[in-house]
Amino acid sequence: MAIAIAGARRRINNQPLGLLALAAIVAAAVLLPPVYLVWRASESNAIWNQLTDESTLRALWRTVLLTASVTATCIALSVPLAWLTGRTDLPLRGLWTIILALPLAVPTFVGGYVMVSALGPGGLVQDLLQPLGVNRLPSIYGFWGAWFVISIFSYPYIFIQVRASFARMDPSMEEAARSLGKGPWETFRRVNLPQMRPAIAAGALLVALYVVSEFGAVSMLRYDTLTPLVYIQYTTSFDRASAAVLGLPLIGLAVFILAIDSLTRGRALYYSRAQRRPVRLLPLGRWRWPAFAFCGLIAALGLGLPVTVVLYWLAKGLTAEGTTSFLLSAAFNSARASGMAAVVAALACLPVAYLSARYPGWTSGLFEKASYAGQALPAITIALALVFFAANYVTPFYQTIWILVFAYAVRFLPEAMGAIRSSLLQVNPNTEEAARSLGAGPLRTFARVTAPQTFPGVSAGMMLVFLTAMKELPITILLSPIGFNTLATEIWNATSEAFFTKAALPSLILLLISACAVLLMLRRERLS
Amino acid sequence: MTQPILVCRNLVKRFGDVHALRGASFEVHEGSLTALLGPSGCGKTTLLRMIAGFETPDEGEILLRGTTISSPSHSLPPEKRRVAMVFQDFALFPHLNVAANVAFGLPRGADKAARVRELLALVRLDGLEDRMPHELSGGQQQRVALARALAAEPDLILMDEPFSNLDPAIREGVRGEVRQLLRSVGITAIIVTHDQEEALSLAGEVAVMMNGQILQVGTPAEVYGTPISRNVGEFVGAANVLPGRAAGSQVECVLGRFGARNGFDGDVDVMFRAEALAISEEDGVPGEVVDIDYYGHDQMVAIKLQSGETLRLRLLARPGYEIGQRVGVTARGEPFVFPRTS
Repeated sequence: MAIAIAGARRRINNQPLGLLALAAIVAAAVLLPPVYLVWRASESNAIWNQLTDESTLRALWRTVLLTASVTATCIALSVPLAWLTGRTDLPLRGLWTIILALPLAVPTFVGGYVMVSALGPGGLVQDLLQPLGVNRLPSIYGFWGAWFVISIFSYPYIFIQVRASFARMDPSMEEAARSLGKGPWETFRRVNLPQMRPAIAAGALLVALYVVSEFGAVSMLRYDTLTPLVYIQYTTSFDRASAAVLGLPLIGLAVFILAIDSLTRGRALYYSRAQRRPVRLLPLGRWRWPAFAFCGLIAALGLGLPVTVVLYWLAKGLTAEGTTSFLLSAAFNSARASGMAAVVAALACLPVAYLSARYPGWTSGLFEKASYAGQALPAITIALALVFFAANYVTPFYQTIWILVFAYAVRFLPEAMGAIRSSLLQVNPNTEEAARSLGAGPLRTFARVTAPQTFPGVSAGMMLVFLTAMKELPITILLSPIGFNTLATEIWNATSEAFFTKAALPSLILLLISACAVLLMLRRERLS
Repeated sequence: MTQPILVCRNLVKRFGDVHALRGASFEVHEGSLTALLGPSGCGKTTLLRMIAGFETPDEGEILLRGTTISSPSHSLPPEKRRVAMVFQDFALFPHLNVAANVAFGLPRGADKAARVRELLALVRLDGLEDRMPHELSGGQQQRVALARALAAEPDLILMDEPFSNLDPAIREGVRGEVRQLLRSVGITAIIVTHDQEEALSLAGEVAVMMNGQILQVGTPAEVYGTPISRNVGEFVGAANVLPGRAAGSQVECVLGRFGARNGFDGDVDVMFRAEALAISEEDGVPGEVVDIDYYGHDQMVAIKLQSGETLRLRLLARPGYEIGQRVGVTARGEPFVFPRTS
């Protein structure tokens, strides 16, 4: 009990009612999509038949298979890459850290476009090989294509986490193991690996949740997991309840993954002391250049390939008639919707984050957890729920940008929460109390003491929401008002029509924007 | 004496199962410097935060200049109390420079620039107006915190362990400065501390707090010289407690028979301050030196008597003793006598 109180930092007793009400509204808004979706699905009279239908079960199996194999692949790639860049004398290891994180800047649907436009029928490689008499290429469609694209563009989720954990790890523990008579391999296995476990788990969680909700790449590469099935059901059938039913196993799978994560989390606390000496790098010896080549290969596939393919189509498209004005409106629309989402998400975060940071307790904890619901909701289920909800209950907002912004905010609230809450936690509560005891009321204290100190965190959170919303696909497709084209929808439509040159410029813009997001992440982990 | 400026009456506060305050009462007079002294966990910080308005009492009330500012049903918000708090970590606003920190609480309409200059001169920080808090030393940060509190022109200043974040080497000097400063401004202040030496040397009044209650209030000499209980006596200074028997005005223990100031009968605890014992070769009770803490100006010598008790004596630095040396212990003056507690 005494510990709980010490942790609670004995604040001014009562939770302010206004703040509590605001936080409750945010929590309710976030929970609206899943609750409504479940309710809608329950209206279907054939819910059980549909869930046990062969096509549903096949899609579910494919989703599970893809999630498991992509996650395993990403771990297998990330751990050696993080170790090489973090602990060995790999040449240019600082630069590699950044380069190997950058494939994350390629949205997987852009990755899908790259694959289809490079290796698919009428694609780049066929163009190049046709003069040589090659007319058929091995098919890229199906499991292997989807597995390759999603793995190569999402392994950095794990790489960044593990690499950051290497940076935090106190090298004196490794030295202690060595001085106790353990070799480098055993030290890695028994000292580094257990310490990396939380980072691997955190990254793997992100990857697994990402694969479950991935929509663009699996659709383009025609590997029918649950998300394309939901989309097809939604676009081809008038019975909307049945699309809602198919959203249930998706949410179930995401919740299942989160449950596994919280059940298997280790109980050890990993300390790292503030004072750290520079790392003593392990000499790779004759493995130095093979290791270099390995990093080079991954970078070539994850970064070189998409950039080359996009530039190829861009060059080819420049000779064709220009569509730049159309593209300008797409870029403007993307930026407008994402910018509004960033503002809405930050405003929604503030009361929840402030409450949980300053008045910890079960109510504020509940609201905070609720605000993370977006993490467990595959984007397409949020989109689906809101399409139905808007059409039925808030018709004035149906087919407006507001419903799109609302969906983005729900989906990306967790990203903003992370940044904003941690910046609030860094504000010394004594400075707020000092302001009160110097005669400033609660509002003046917030405006003059709390807000200025949290500004960097809030702006970083908004930036993250903006950058991730820019490259969001399924919500954008389902909720964009008619005629509201964005960069993501441009790429999606062009690829569906095999109009590869048209997708090049929007892809390039998205790549550059997402690269900013990755660099921002790296800076937050102090890796660049 | 003048009317008390602050009155705390029978304050009770529970946090879940923890009883932080169990009926704490005390008064503070205008212009005084009071030390609230107690071991960690005794409730002194809770009491201070309650006076500042950051906690509401479950029972009891607080009056400032005769008006109730805290009671279970009504608590004046901190900003309306004219009670300024100086925090243990100083809590300077990290995004504001020294001048802006000090100006934060200045009353509206004041000539801010002039007032800030005046206050910074008072705490001898003139010329550092543009520094940011992280560019200051610990002692400087504390003086900014004090200037910032004084700027709000409060009726009362509260300081929570103000010296614990300072380097021990400069602590004593800073303490003296703060006392002079507070005295020259003539402001009433309460300083919370767990360090008895700090409390005795700094304050005009010491309130000893234990277990959620104020046990004794008095001048440093009163609290040290006539503790009202064994606990207070042991906490306020180094003390030796021996079992004894009292009858009328006499008390007897292993060190001999003494006159007793307070008349108890039966089994008692007999307490001698460490400096109230001396070494005597002729008529002392025999014992052996078992430990020596040497401080330069004096030394603390632990002596184990043949009867088994170990006593701690504060002696002059010379003559020196050796571990194992056989000596005799004798008492000077009257001991404190308390009813047996164990």
